[in-house]
Amino acid sequence: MERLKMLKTVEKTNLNINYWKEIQGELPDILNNLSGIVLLTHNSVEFTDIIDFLKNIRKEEFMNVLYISLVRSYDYMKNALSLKQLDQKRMMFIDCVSGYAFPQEENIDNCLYHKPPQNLEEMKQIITFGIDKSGPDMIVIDSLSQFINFTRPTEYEIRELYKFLQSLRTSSLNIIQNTFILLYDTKLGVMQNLPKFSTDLILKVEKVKEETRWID
Amino acid sequence: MLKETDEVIGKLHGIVLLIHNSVEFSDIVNFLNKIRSNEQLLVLYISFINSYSHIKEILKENPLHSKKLFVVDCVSGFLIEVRDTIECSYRKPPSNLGQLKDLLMNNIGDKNPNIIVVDSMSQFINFSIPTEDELDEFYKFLHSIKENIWGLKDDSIILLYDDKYGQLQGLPTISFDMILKLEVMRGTPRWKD
Repeated sequence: MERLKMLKTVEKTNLNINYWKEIQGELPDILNNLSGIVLLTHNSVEFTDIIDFLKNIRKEEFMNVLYISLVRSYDYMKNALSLKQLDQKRMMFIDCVSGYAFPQEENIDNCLYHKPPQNLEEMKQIITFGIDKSGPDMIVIDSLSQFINFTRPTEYEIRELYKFLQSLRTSSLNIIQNTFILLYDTKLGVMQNLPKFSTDLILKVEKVKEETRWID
Repeated sequence: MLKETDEVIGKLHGIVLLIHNSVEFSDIVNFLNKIRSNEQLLVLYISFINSYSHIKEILKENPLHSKKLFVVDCVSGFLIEVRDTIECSYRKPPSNLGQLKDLLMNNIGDKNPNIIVVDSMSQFINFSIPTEDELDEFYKFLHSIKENIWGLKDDSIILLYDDKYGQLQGLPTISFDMILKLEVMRGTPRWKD
């Protein structure tokens, strides 16, 4: 009897349902008119794939982009950009990866180093600092996975994220800084509790990494 | 992500590929309930996965609103001797897309449904590592549905596909009117005192 009761309590239920729509054909138009707060979830894509994505955002428009990196060093991104150009976009980086190594900033005009933020409140301070320094049109945060796991988020994490998104909308998003791209790596599992109402768009990029078929 | 879910699914029509993460039949009922919820519609459900007896059980707890269901059960026919009823017919599962097309055509002619659901296309193609021949056959199948079956532009044919075999590639995006993905998160609710 006790065993049966126990099984009953661990019975799985539907926690959440996400509907996604395939938009390959509409993507150029969507990117050409992109603005607002955009959550870009991806399956561990390379930085070169992110370059391709950024390249297609408002293609004809010249844009200043502030890229706040918590996962890739400036040296790595600089190297990738030398192989793949990002036309029509002027990049300013805040490297929160190499900050602990105290690299010299004197001879670099498009990167600032910073300690990695411990929470979303500190992230907000870095955004404000970056906006003051570079006056960007678009801000990219790579990535939110450092602060929240959408697979099994705690109520505290969700509350903090909503507070963060709300503060972006009220105090940072304006006629000049009109686009925020928040990257999120889905490697941690199927996402639930995505911030549908606090973002303007949620995109999911699935890069299919093809395994070479064996040929005898 | 689809934010305007009710708007898009509510007006669903044409040939739709519905990819899902091994959802239960009750999740499919919930999905069907969102489609044109203010109209009385006939749904033809061709099942290679769920038996009619299972479908009936689920419908007791999760009823289909404003829709009548006719099931072609291609699961039970193999197991037991069963007779067709006014809500279900039992058929052998088709072995290829040509036979599936024949099955569709026969039942569409008989029942004149508004929505057709095929559960599921995973029986015929694996989009994770499709061969060129498989894709070619699949394109032909979709094309022939459009040509031969699809006369009424306001109706819908929903082809289900379970993505449990892995990441999808080579999706025939051009041949569908829409591709949707349904992700159901299952788990145990957190303990609250």
